[in-house]
Amino acid sequence: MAAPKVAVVGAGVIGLSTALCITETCPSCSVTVLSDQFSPNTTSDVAAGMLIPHTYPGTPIRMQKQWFKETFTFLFAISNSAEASEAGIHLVSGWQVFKNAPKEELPFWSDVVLGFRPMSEAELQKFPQYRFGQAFTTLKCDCPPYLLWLEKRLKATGVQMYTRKVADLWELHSEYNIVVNCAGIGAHRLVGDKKLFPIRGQVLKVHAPWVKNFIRDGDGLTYIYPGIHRVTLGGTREKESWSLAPDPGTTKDIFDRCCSLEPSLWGAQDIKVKVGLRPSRQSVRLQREVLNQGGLKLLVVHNYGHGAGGFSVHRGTAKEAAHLVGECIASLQGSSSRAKL
Amino acid sequence: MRVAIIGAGVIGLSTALCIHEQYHSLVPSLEMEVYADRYTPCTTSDGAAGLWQPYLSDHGNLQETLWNKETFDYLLGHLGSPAAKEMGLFLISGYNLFTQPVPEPPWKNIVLGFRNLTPKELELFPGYSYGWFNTALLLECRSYLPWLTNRLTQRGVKFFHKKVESFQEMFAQGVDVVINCTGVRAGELQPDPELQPGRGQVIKVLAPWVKHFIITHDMESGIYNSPYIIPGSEFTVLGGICQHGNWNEENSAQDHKTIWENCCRLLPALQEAKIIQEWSGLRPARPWVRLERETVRHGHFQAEVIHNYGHGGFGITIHWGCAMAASRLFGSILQEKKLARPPQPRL
Repeated sequence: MAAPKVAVVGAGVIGLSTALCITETCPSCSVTVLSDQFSPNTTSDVAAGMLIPHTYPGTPIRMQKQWFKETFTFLFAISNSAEASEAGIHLVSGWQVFKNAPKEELPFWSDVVLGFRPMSEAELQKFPQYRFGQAFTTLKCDCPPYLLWLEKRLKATGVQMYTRKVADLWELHSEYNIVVNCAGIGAHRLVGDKKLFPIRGQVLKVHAPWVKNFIRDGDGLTYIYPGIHRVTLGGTREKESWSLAPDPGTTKDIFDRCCSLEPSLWGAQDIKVKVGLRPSRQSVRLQREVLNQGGLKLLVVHNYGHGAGGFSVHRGTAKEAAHLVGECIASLQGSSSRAKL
Repeated sequence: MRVAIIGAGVIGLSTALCIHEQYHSLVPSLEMEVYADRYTPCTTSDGAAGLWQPYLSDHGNLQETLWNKETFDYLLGHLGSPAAKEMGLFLISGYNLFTQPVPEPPWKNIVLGFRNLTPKELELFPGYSYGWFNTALLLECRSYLPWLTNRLTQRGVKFFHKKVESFQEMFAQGVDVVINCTGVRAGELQPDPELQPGRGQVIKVLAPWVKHFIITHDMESGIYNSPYIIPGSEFTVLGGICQHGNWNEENSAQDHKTIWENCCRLLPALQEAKIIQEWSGLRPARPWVRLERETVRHGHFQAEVIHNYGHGGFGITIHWGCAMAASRLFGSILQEKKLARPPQPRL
């Protein structure tokens, strides 16, 4: 058969990294990225991009760890290369602090990040309201740079990207053999997935270049993540809220909470407010589906529902999605050779 | 009681502030003046990256380790205050890298979270097989010196832009105590063969993705002769030059090449960094810090000099401990002249 035509719907970190993995595993494929939004207007652009995994209740831990490890290894190599600054990937060290003893002393990812250990008494003194803490070094993917770098690599392999709002996956059946659904929160409407729901996050991106370490409250609500040019201060986790409008009361609350963790932030300048809707689900939907209408077929691979953990597992899930695309291609070739008989 | 501080680097200004804070209320007649031919941003201190880190060994000089600790604890105490940003003070974590195992440094319990590097971390630094990670402090003199100057000005301390040619010149004007914080050029006021320049050169670049300090060590070539990368609040300092006995304050193209190639090998992404400035300075190197009183004859009178110079490449690291020690020496001068009650209650 002719080179399989693959459409990737979605141009956030999941869509772009999945498209890249497909070009790596299937060089003969023609890959096109379709999305109504590109960087800097995706959900990924709002996120800090810290590699600190979110735990999916519906996915085996072994698999989540595998995804995280693959992602960490991939980004670690980039951070160590001449492309690090262009790709927006950098190492950052810091502390996760707890007011009450954490559920698990050793999270599943503690041996993937670098130098994980409990905080010393002297370190905890800097956080008088907190009693326990973990210190480690991890990676951060700054957006837009990371997404722009992925786009650049895709274009170099001949991948086309178009701004297009896909209302229904079936509308692509005449142009493409396989569709990869990386629509994130958009999958709620695109494929009618009722198990997918937003968890609204508001963040502040501020100018505070003297902040070199990250600080995260173990409750996940308050965090300070230094990026290349701005520090991301967070945040909120508002289930089922679809509002993309920044809330001024929330802004003040986030700023106060972060300043109480890191008092020097009172001097932060040029506060920008952003909102993103984490595409949340009990587990990442990473599976094949065959759409049938009137004797015609469209092969679909779903890769969405990464919630708060998209950056942490993006490369691992992208590789698995690319593998599923490989299976789709094999089944297409199988049926086309059967058709010849 | 007229006190003149000669030198307006980190040592001069901090010593001035320390003495004024401690004794101003006890000595109402205290008049303090600062004399220097160079002020911020043209002092040796201004060129330093500002990382708090002593040398690897104190050579049994426990006194210096105590002064280092005093400085670290003093700065750490200021971290949470609103002044921190204005002072140019913040926490920073990073790496010390070696090609072989070395003994732990005397400051390992002063800094925060000191530990050895894991094998995975060492993968980041090919050619280095051993190292440390810790969190320390950075104090940028381009902010700290103006901050000290403001505090001193508020206290009524006067500043004079003048090259002092001799201690006698000060005493002839009526100065009672001279605090000698003249750094590398102290030999011009009083010969000191132990004091030598440790010439350094640095390249300041824009590399805001670098969040850690990285200091490499070559046990053969000596301290600061091996590449280092230290991110500040705006610029990242690349260095790795320490030439003992070299008085040349001009930038050297050869040294530029050495620094640039070595640092880019350490962090390949630096090749994309934009160079903002190049700077050379002379570390006031001495086998140990000269911090002592000297009584000088001035006609029929006795005048006092407190020497506080020779801090090599660790001036910022040790400055407050030395300022406090100089201040105690000043207190003993006051006691002898019966100009002030000792601060402690009498038994």
